[in-house]
Amino acid sequence: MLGMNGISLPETFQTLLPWLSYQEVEFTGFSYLPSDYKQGVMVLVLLLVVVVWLPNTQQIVQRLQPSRLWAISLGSIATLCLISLNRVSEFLYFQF
Amino acid sequence: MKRYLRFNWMVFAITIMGSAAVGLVNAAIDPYGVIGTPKIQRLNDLKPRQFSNVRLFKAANIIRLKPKAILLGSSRTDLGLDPTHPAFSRVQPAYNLGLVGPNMYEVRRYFEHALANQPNLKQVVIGIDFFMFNKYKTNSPDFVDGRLGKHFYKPKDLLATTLSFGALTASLETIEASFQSDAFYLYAPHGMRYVYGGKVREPMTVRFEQSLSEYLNSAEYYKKFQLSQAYLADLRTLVEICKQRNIDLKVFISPSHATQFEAIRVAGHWSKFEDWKREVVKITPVWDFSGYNTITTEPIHDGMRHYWDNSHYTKEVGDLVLNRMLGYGKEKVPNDFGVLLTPETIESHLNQIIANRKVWLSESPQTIAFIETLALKAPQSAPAQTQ
Repeated sequence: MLGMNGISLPETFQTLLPWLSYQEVEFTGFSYLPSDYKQGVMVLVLLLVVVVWLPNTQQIVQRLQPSRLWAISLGSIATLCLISLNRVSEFLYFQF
Repeated sequence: MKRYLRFNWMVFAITIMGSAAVGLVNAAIDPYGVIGTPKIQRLNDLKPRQFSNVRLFKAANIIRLKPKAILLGSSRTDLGLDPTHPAFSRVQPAYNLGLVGPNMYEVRRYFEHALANQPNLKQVVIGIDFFMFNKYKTNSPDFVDGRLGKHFYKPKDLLATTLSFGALTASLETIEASFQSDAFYLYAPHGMRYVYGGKVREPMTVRFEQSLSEYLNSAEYYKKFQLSQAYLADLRTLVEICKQRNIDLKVFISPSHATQFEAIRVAGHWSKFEDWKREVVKITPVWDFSGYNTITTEPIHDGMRHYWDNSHYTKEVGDLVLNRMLGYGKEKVPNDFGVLLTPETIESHLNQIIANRKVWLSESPQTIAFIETLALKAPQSAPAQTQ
């Protein structure tokens, strides 16, 4: 959080912050962010709100009740995690 | 305490049931065509995602079908050679094992996979293309060596094609395509690809231009070319295994459209293209359908009879190729289509191709204009040879 290991920003931010030198910041690819830097900033602001305002995992666990609703929620998340572990290695060809 | 025990069991049960539901839906819809569940009209009869998983589903189908005849090669074989051709009636089941954009190593490995699953393999037909022997043509990202040569479908592949989020989205795509009857490239059960509805959407000139530009600008195709001795050795291995096992082998050079060969010339690789043929002929006799003949010089226009684009010939042409090589219905094949090359005939044949090209250019001024636009699309580093 303090940037002790350096700071990385998406490549698209380079047009927005051209005055930042390469020594201070590394511009690299963030595949999960939208390619448009304006949308990228919006996503980051939104995620910052999520991180700051919403409860973290420990706070969520503190609220856990052994109820049916909690079981369904946790079971669904666990299912999603399980089916995200496997992946078909696809390749979209052009015309060859 | 009991309350938490019951809660834990509930979470566990929901996870198991949720995963099982995903697995069952994917197995029933079978979006990649690897499980072999029945096709139901408007539910899962059109499987467009097979096209991006050719190496996966064809490896699985070989294990299930154990064909006695296989048709090998690149996407030209995939889209053009019909395993139900009458010449294969005595060697059924026949299977189209053409891959999309392979190098010769990948083709050899799929041949070995077929042989491991059918030791009584009788007939092999292989369509070869120049790019398959390019040193820079690396294995495709979806090529997995470890799934070949096995008699069973790998558990990892089974998990990936049933218990995965990707398979679930593929199933939804399959249902949508089947319900709306909307798809483009699809696969028949015998492995041959076809165009759903039989018509392409874009104008033919656009298809030719886009595809030729890709060939010229892709490092693995014509942007860079170096003849790979390793890939030639793969072909040699395949030929030797066929000889040892008494398997009838037919090798041919694909009848792509004349503009495909012009692209090779524009990219500055014509002499390498000829050297490649010389090297192949040292390994095995090869039927050459390339060059400038009655079929390959069809004028570019919408509704072409022989081509889907610059490189992919139609089933009609594929039938003529098989007719010529397998001695079936030869009277239907144009005389200049398909020449059997041997070390004795190769040089005169290469000269004949150059002579044929001169005649073609003199008769097709509109094609010369098209070729000139091709030269502009070529990378600047390539020494263009448009004459």
